[in-house]
Amino acid sequence: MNLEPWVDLVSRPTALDWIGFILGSAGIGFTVWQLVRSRGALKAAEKALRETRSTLIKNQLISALPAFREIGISVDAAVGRDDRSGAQAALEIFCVRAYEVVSLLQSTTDRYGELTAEILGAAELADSSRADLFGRPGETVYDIVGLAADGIRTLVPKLSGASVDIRNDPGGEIDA
Amino acid sequence: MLDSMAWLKLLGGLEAATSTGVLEWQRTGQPPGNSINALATAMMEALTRQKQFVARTATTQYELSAVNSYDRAPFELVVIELGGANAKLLDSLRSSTAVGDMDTYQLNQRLEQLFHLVDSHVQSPDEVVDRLLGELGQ
Repeated sequence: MNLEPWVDLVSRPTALDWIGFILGSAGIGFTVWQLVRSRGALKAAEKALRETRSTLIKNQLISALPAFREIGISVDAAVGRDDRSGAQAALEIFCVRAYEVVSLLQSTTDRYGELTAEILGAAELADSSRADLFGRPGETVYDIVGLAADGIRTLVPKLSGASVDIRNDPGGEIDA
Repeated sequence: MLDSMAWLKLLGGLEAATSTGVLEWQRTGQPPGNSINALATAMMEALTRQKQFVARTATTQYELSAVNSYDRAPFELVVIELGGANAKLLDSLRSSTAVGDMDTYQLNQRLEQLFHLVDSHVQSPDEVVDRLLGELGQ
């Protein structure tokens, strides 16, 4: 390939060549600087989005977690009254809430992995006990859902602790 | 509209028709894997996914589902009379916690039996695709 018409390798550069070289270099430098700056802006936007999402999840958890105390009281009350229908309704609410909270916890952080497993275990037991309320006619509600009620009772203080932990997290984020 | 005896007879008939293949059920409802952020575990899916089945005869549609659970009680059977655009609800039966009444207990048991029988007779969409592809040699 003949570059002679385009590149003059013989003549000394004139002042105009130097000016062109300096302006070209400045242009390239400016372009690189702009690219770096826009990448930084993208990262900042991503960080802001992540923080907003995390704050939303945190707010939802702060609102959802205290409900378990009331649900636990409802389950215990239904067991005390030997009320199958009431126990069934309370356990159903527990399962729905448990699923909601586990989804929120799993979508943001690994910090509550152990608690998440406990919630899922309690929800599985509650769901199977709830189904048993439609059978086993000779047994009391305590016989059928007593273990599930115990599980919820054990879980409630842990969920309250997590609620306080999340509420007092100063960063707005709950990521570890 | 239907009393306990009528429901027991109908449930028995539906079980027999399902077992012999006279009545073919199809699975409908929420597809699997529709969990928040796809992070739900199998156990969570079991708690949240619902199983619903539909079967039709010339004049009637039967809808059988597990209410608010995956494959556990309470179950519900809805009977709909088909009449072109004028389909109407004939009656529905749902598991009840009032099992002190023997009729209610028996209905719960038969409803659960029917649900599991139907569940075992229905092929999932994946199984159907696999079978069709198998027939095509793929």
